[in-house]
Amino acid sequence: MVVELLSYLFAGLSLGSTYVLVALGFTLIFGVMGIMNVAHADVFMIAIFTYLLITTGFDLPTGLGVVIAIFAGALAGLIVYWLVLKRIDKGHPVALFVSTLGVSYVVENFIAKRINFGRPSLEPIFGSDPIIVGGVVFTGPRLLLFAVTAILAGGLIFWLKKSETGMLLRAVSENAVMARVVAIDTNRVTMIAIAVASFVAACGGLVVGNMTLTADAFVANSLSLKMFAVAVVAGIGSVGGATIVGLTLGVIEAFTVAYVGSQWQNVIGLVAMTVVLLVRPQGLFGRVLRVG
Amino acid sequence: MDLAVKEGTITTLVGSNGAGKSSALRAMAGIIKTEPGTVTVHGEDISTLTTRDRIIEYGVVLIPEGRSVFTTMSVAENLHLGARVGNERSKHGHAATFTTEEAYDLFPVLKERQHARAQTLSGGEQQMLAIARSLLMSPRVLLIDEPSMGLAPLLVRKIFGVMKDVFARNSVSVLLVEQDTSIALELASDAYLLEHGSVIAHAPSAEMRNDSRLREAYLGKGDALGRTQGTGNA
Repeated sequence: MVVELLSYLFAGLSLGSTYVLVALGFTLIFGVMGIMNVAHADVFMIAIFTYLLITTGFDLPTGLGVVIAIFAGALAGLIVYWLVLKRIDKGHPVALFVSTLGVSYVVENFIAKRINFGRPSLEPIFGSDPIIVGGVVFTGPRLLLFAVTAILAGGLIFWLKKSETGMLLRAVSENAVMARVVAIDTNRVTMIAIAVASFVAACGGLVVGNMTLTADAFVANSLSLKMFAVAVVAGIGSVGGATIVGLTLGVIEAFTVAYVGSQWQNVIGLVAMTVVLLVRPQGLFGRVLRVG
Repeated sequence: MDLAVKEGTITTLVGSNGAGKSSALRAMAGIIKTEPGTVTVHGEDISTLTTRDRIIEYGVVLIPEGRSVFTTMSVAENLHLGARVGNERSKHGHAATFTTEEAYDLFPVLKERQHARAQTLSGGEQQMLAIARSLLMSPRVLLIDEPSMGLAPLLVRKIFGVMKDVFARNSVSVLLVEQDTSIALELASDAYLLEHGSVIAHAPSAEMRNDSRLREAYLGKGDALGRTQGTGNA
């Protein structure tokens, strides 16, 4: 019984880690720019496909594949910023929402078409024999996912709190007009936020791909729904909140699948989001509503 | 709208709600567009510059109205955001005129509360923080919007009393927008009266204060202190 519960707990935490790695960047970008970048989850997918191209396509070493994939993911985020986010008037959130959705569709279908709508397998980056502790099975890829999530979420929170650039980023997130008043180069800060957000999502794509070992061009579809729910429930812009809510959602989903039925898995996040929007629109961890 | 601020003096803009006082300040800071007007500092046109360049190169610093501190950040972090601008300005050849230590000496309460989140400060303390942060930016021209909003007049006089010295010592030119006309005319040496976005009178503030006709018409009727009755945003 305990072993079973622990197994579901760890399955839930690994699901939740996936959500966290995507939601962190989404919420960071929202904080700084005040816009919802629906295409953000596609960075996750682009990293997986870049890795596939380098390792399987060009038959190059996996280490090189990892480095190039992370770089490509960060670059993809910046390209979306330069081509779309920067050019559309922030006063029209619907236009931004629709255009990032458009980017998402185009990129996903372009890549899916190139591989004839298949789901190619990935070469493992890091694997190991399962480790069994008291009946609970740990696999290398899952431990890697936990480690990467802990390092990236913890590192991001620490960086925002302690570094000079992190302070500027928080300033822009709290009040973009005030940030200009104290001579913060908001354009530069925004680009840093996008690059960091995309870096985190690209790392997420790689460690999750290392677990599933398949490349799915449409992985972002279900993921962006969760990313959205996690960010809203946590309080959009709250990085620490997104970490806690993401992990919690994963665990609840895992237990629901185990004890209630898998058809309910995707419902929980949406219900939680609706309830939070009704009773506490700023989110569980949202402190202030954004200005500017 | 045509107005000038003499170096090292305090000039005030007075006028009823909606006269364009706050908009004028924001346009000078580059927060909103000034077309077709021009903004010059020491004869140099800065109208096309970004807010950031106006601050770094010309020391044009705005203190916006209301809650103009970063409330989720600590007092020390807020001051640091000002000090880093001062440092950057000194790299551009404008020596820093004010240090964080001096800010703490000027407003001891900020030193006591330096690790507290700015949102836990009182309205007056937040205003002190906003002013101290702006002084750390080595301003040459300080644009102050409604410093007395939500504060007791006595406190505003006290804050300005402390600051007048600092302004004089560093020859900071101040353009003050203030609902409380009696305080504004008392602090400033020069005053402009605005209506519907245009200057309709310009005089030394002592003269403006004693002009009963102007006071009756624009600065609040019947009130012996000459205080305006509106408290909303201009």
